[in-house]
Amino acid sequence: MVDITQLCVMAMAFWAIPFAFVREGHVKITFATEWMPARARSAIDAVAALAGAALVVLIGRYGYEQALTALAYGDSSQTIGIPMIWYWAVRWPASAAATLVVALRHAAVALSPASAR
Amino acid sequence: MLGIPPELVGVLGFVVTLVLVALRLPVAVAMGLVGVLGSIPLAGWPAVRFMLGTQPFGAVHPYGLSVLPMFIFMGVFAAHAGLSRNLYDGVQALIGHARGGLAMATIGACAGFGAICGSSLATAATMSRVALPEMRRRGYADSLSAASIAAGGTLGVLIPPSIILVIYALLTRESIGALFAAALVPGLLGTALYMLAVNVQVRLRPDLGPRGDRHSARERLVALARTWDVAVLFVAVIGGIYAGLFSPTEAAAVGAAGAFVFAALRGRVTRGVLLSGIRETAITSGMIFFILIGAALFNFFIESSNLPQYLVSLVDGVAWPAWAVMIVLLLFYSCSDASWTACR
Repeated sequence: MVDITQLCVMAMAFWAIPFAFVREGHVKITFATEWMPARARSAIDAVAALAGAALVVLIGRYGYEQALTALAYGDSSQTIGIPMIWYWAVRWPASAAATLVVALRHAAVALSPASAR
Repeated sequence: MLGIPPELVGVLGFVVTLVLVALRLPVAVAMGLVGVLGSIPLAGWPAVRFMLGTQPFGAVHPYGLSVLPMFIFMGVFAAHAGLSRNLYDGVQALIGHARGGLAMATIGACAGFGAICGSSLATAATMSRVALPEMRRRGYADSLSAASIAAGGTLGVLIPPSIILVIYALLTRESIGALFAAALVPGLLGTALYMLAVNVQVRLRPDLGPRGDRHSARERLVALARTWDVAVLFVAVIGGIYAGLFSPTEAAAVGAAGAFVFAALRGRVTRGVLLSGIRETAITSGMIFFILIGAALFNFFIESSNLPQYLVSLVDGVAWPAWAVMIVLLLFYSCSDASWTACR
């Protein structure tokens, strides 16, 4: 049970992260930039989205490396022996999805300064 | 790095993170990026590369984290089931007639909702939907209404179950049950003090919160009896943990299922509600898990900078009295509070 729960939580977590990006669910502080003109804020948001994309690209890229290692060693989970690669498999496509979403959002924000809040 | 002591790099990392957060970068992204970039000069690229592969996995893997989405789900569906409405009506019937009574009822209902919800944000959001229209209708000042909801919301994480205490327990290897027990008294104390603050405020400026209608003893009993489901959920979840019946994960599952059943029994679970409830759970969980990942990367950086050991040696070296260390810690935590506002 423990292993299956962990697998579910991991899948859920990594798939929910890009979803939270789509829905603007990630926490950010806005009061310090309230005074800026909308254009400046949207420029900052574009850079922020790019930074977010960079981070998820890094996590995805080197997570993939670790996944290959886990596969090569044939690691498996502690209680019922689910191959560890499953744990990586449920999250890796999500990392890729996250990258795409963040990058798209970055593009959208950068292209439409009028829609900036 | 260029002769700069690693501890200083650690401090710089903190500063840069705070600046990035102030510049609207999501908290998780700011911590993660600074963690990665800062670690490269300190630990070297091969170590950082390995860390990038392992830390995000390790941050999400612990079994204890499974309680988070379930406690979030529980709070979401408890609100959909109308439990927050019943709580508010119950407390309001008791003290609503007093001057500022609705604001105090809001705080009381927040405390009650905190007993079945582990998040301050969710508690404040739910209560603002229930209590704010009522206070507006009775001519309460917006300042007092909003303040009572915002202050009451903080009780959501203090009164168990509490998402932030679960995270703290996992990070520091403490017992979740023990932390929940420890937070109960401060939670109740906070409730009483917030109510007192409302009371003082309306004594000074009576126009902020006018008196309401007095309820008969019978009406009060009926309104209070309607909050039975909150009591059942709280006893099942928190009582189950203390009685040793459930592990925290099992208790969270019981709570999530229970809240869903209450909502279903009242016919509140439509397709739309189900979808929006799951969506809300997913967004909040994704946000928290991403912060855990960012924090794990940042933590690697801080460890590499040797800053924690340096600080410990500083504190050991100066032999300050305990209260002085306490004040410095409080100052430090109120500064770094920004990054934690996230989990409330």
